[in-house]
Amino acid sequence: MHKEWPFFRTMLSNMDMVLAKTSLAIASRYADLVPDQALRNDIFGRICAEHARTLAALLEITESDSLLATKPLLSRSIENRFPYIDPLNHLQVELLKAHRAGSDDPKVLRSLKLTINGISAGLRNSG
Amino acid sequence: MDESASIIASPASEDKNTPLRDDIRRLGNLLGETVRTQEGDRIFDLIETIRQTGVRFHRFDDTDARAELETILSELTPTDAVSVIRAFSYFSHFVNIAEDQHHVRRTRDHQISGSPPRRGSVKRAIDDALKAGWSAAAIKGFFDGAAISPVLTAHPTEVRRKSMMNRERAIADLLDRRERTTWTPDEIVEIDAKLARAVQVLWHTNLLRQTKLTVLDEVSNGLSYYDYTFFNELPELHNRVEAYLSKLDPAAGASRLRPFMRMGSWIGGDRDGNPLVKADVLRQTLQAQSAKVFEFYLSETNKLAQELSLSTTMVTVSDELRALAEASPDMSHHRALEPYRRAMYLIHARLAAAQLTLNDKDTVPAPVADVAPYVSANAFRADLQIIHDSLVENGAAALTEGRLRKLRRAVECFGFHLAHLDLRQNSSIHEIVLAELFEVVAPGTDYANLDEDARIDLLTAELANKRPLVHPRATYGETTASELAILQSAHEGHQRYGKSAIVTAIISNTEAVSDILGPAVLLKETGLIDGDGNSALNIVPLFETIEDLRGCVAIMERLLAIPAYRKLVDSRGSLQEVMLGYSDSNKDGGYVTSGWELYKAETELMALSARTGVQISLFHGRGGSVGRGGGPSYDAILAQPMGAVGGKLRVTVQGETISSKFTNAEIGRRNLEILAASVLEAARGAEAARTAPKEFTKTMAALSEHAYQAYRALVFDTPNFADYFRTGTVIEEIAELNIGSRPASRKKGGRIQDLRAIPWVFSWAQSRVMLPGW
Repeated sequence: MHKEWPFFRTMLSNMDMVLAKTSLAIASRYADLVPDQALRNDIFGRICAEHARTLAALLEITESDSLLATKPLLSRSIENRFPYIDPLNHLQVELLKAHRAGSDDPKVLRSLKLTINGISAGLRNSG
Repeated sequence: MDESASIIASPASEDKNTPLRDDIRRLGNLLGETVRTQEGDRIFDLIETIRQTGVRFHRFDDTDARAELETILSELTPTDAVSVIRAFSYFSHFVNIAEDQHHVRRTRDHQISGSPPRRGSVKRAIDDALKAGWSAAAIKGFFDGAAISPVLTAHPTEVRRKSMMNRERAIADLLDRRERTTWTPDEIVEIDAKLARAVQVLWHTNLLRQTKLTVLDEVSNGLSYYDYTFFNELPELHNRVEAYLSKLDPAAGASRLRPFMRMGSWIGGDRDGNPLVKADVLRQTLQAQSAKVFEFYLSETNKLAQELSLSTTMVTVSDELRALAEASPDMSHHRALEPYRRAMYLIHARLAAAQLTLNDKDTVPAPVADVAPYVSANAFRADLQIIHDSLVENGAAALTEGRLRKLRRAVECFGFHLAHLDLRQNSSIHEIVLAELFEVVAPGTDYANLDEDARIDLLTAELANKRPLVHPRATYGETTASELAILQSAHEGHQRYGKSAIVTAIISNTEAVSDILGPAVLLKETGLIDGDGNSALNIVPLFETIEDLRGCVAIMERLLAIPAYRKLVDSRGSLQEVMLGYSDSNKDGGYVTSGWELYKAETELMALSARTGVQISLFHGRGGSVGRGGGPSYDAILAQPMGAVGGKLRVTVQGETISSKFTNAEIGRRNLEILAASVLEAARGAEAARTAPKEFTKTMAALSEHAYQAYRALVFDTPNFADYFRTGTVIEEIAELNIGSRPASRKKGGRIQDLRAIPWVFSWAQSRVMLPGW
């Protein structure tokens, strides 16, 4: 089905690209922002489990060892950038904490906007 | 910031990527130097430490690195944080610039080395079609009948500023120029100094907007891309296809290739969830678009006037041209013997007059005199044709190439309106309007509580009724008044700029037949459907939820069976466009299910099309993911049964994608070319896309059902999932900040259902979960 049906192939191919931009390690820091601990653990736990299942299934169906196996250019493009996006994500989390705690420092707001822009630029064409 | 080789070089690194690494290193170093000199060593070292720790964490999943990183970052002062974020952001922008440059470089290398045309190029698509047995004439015929339209939409979370983008374009240009020519050592030093200065200016330019964006700001932003790319590349693409087909078969080039690609836009016409788009905004948008294209025409005709200095002491000209020259107000005795110049100055003056009449704008430099304005783009085109014919008939065919050829093609593609502006409104708003209209003239109608059959009867009768529904002396509520005013404005737009200015009215959230008949009634009320049942607009339903996707074929079937509606469709050439919401159905049912439901809906719509004799085409509400440096970008679209029906492809290009695809002209050229190539390829492979073995579709259906259950359970059936989303992502902050002109939700309340799809996707992307993508 994957080899012969373009529809299914591109569905998986697009998923592949998206998964390559996913980082559950970073996502977990965002999950930490959710005040209700039980809610957080439940939902993030389910997201992680589903992610693992999805990844395994994708690799099995496409008979690959890694994501973006057939897209070295995109893979390299992501390699180039991610070391620069991850710190922005970390910072964004800190800034969200400060902002939500009621900080009225204009720099916090400005920095928050800047991280949104920066992560967007780094992810480029993610959605 | 020295980009250490260990990040980019993988064990299998190739020489051909060295220039990319060099560019990244060069720009990174310039940025680092700027930061060091402007912010000081401490900040520079801090950024370097964060960068290197980040690399360790990312590449080697180093838990120590993670802890270190978190410590450093949580201890940053707000002031330092700003510098760090800006540095990393600009670095990402530089990587983007370097990658674009590399893409251009590789494409040029291929062409220079004489490699066969690559996938995604129009030449390759044409060659493949020839191999498959198509004749050059058939390919030309295909393009003649094709209608491809990239439709620009404003991304509600667009944050980039024009000033910043212009500075970055300057950097990209310098980078390109630096390697395009052989420079002397002194010249290289000079270029590098320019690059350094450009980086420094960029560092001190605001990344972000400091004021709120209006719809007209968004319009203006969208218009910049015409200067960057579309004005030049759209005509160029046509000319290249025409030239290649001519080369393959001169007979195919005998008649002029008809324009197959035109621009579209939603910016300034899309009112769905955007109460700021009102009648005057629509009017101003049409005017801004028109003024933009006139600027281009005026500039080009001015240049042509300077270039065509042919003198009658040496050349002969046609009678028609002589007539133009003699009618010219150009009194300069210097040009008495230069009829082409005189003719061009006349053309220029007529354009300037039209710019003034239509758009109330003066022209600088001023025209030679005041003359009668062009009343249509056709008149302008006809005069250019005279210039062209005269040159050809008098031994100067070579002079028709270049600027004149591009301009003639541009007029065909852009007219006086620049782009087709779409109208869009939510079905629930139409309901409110109709309810009020009926209630005023027939109290007790209670439209809101009528069942679907009763509505259909009521609306169908109304469509056939020649007397107006809108009462001339009634005062209507704000929503109704506003909606009627907008449609009225659209009607006026047609009168001023021609019917091509606005071609489509989209109905978002279409759930029933009455959702489509209702707006038709409103079009009738405002003159956009005339007394004989001819419609000036395509009425296009947008089906968004999984449920609506499943029901859309039944709705369309019933709709097309209504004679009054069928008549409207026939008045549009028996064409019915349908829009299937990818992002919205994705939010509704998850990635797999929405993809599958779209596929199914399309297959069934194709069958409906065959049954009814109405050609149904699809408007893709999703630009498709970009496949860089490889296959066609629109693989996902073309894998669908209705990817590009009969050479027709309409696809939206959203804010951030517009800038990444169309800021750089060469990248923009490639992206436009990919669209054209894709459509041709789709025509060849259409059959394959449409059929699939039963066991595949059965498996897919089962997969989809499982996926749907899992997704709905998580997102909609988990109590307080909305709270998780709200607190675990930046969604609220996006709504708070000055991002885009449109609210993030259609309604207030915070339900996932009411949230607009794009902020939903964006927020999950920002937190690196990418939920909608898998």
